[in-house]
Amino acid sequence: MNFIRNFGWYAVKRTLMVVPLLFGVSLVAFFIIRLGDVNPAVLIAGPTASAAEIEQVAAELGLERPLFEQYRTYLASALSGDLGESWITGRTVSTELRNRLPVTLELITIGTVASVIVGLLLGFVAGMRERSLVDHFLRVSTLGGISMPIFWLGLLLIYVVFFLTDLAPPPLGRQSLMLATPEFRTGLPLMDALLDGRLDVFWSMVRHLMLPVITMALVIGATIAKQTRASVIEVRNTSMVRYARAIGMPQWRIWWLVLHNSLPSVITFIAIAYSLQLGGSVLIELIFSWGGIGQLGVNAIQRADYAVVQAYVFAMGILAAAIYLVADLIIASIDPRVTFK
Amino acid sequence: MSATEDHAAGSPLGRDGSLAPTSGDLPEQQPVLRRTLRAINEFLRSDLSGTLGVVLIAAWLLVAVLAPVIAPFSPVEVFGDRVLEAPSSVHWFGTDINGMDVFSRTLHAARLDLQIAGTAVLISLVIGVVLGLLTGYLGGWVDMLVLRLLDVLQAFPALILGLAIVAALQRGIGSVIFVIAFLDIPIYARLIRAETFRIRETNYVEAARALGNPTWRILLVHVLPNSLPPVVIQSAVRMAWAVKITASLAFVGVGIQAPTPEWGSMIRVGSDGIMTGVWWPTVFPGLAVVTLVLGLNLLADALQSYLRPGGR
Repeated sequence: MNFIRNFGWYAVKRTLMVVPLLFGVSLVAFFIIRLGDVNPAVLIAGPTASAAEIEQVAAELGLERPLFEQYRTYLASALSGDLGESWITGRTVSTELRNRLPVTLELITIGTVASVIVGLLLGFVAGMRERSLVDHFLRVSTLGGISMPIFWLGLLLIYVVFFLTDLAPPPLGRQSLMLATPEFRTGLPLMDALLDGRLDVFWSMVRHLMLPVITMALVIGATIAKQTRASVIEVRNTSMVRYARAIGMPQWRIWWLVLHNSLPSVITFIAIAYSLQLGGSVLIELIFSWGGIGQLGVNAIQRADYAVVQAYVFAMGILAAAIYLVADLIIASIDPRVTFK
Repeated sequence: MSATEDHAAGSPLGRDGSLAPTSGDLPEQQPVLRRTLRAINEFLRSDLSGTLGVVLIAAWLLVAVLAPVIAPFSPVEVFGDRVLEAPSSVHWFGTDINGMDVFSRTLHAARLDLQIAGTAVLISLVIGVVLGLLTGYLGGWVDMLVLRLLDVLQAFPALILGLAIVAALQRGIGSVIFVIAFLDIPIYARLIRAETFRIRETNYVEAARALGNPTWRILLVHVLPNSLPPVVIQSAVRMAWAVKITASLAFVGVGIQAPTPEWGSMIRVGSDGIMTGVWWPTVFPGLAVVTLVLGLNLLADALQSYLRPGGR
């Protein structure tokens, strides 16, 4: 009972902390693209436009008003669900987000699950067998994985698995170009394929997911493995575990004890990995032409498409904040020390 | 904080002259240079993988300095009749789609990548350490304010923030350095802040305070030197990250652009050919990134077990 009350308080406090954070995130998202002296009106009006035309475009976009006033307008309309329009495609930003965010979320969620499985397994084995041959081997290979630029590994895999051995489909999107894309329902490609009853499309998507997911699992999995190993070793060296060993507890119960007690830090790593994938997905999407929000964001960033960049950076900030919030709440629910004051 | 822990915090510094204050607070002191050399020697012998890391880093530093001498061609020389030529005795790493020599470009890129990483880490180190010392020691509302600011900065996935800033600034290499420094400041600041929290409660700081030392002196002479070990470890990690993020930004195509020899932008140029089996313009610059970053990570790991045995 006491625990539930403590947890409730903690949950409320932790959730409220997100509010000022989100305010800061919106500020950063708005001002970051306005740091430089890029004038989007010049880009939109085109290279042949006269000064008067540029001015007219700028006036239409409201670029001449003071920055803080622009920010206020932006925030007000964003809160009412209007995120503006892309200056390049002319589509509303909320449509773009609705179409593309699920695509990326599906990719990084599957990627994170794979990374966590790889990372926990390797990290746990290495930690339980500290200084053994297996541990040394795993330690060096995880460092290798951590040291690899994720996009380079992806390209390498494309060369080996697609070009040399032809085991993977070409890295040109989420599914075979010969098949029709499933009707938009949830936005999650795999789910939509199933809802359409198109098993061939589903299978094609699974095959296309193979390389990006392996890439993420190797690089991010290595990071998780390294940290898991460290926290397993830390827990193993506590007097609690030494005592368990001394009284002759069976091996599997010691393993469980260590696993259970390294869980809080492991969950933190998972959260970090998940938010890392948010950034890493940009690179993965580029090399596999995934067409998710990462590619949208990069295109917008390169062309100073303010409305899209703002929404993109803001969305990523919100997602990261949400991931950490959920992680903290899970940790608090399994580790009473967090909420105990 | 118990007395034993104070010793534990102080002891690694005693072994490494470059870190310890040289104000003569130890009774018998060898000359700084000899102590430093001995510490380095001891470190190199203590850990094989650390030695490998140092060798890799030293090799790349050497390449960076000597690139104009050892590279067979200029990094931007175009061989119009030898586009996408496979590795040969003339072009060891082949040529890229612009007909430039991949080997020479890979060597030259080491200069730029190391310069960017080094400068950025140094800037963030200085600013981060100052911020961390002040917030950690003074506490109060300054601490709160700075912490909340750092929270906001760290709320974004680093690569995305980096992309947006570099693209907005449009200053090429300068903005890449700025962005890496900017993203690293919170990390150093938090690290030093936590260390300062620990150290300001120790007996020696209390004694220094009781003797009437001014705050700046306590910070500079007592807190700073004793909080350095994790900073040294973190610096190797930050360098590794800086090299990777520089390459990532250039790969996406912001900041550093094509003819400039940089590993990430070389991979970007090369990546168009990977699907048709032209692997050399992609693989070699990538190997360069991996070996340098691996060297830095190995060094960081070895420093970790050398400077903070037992600690995580």
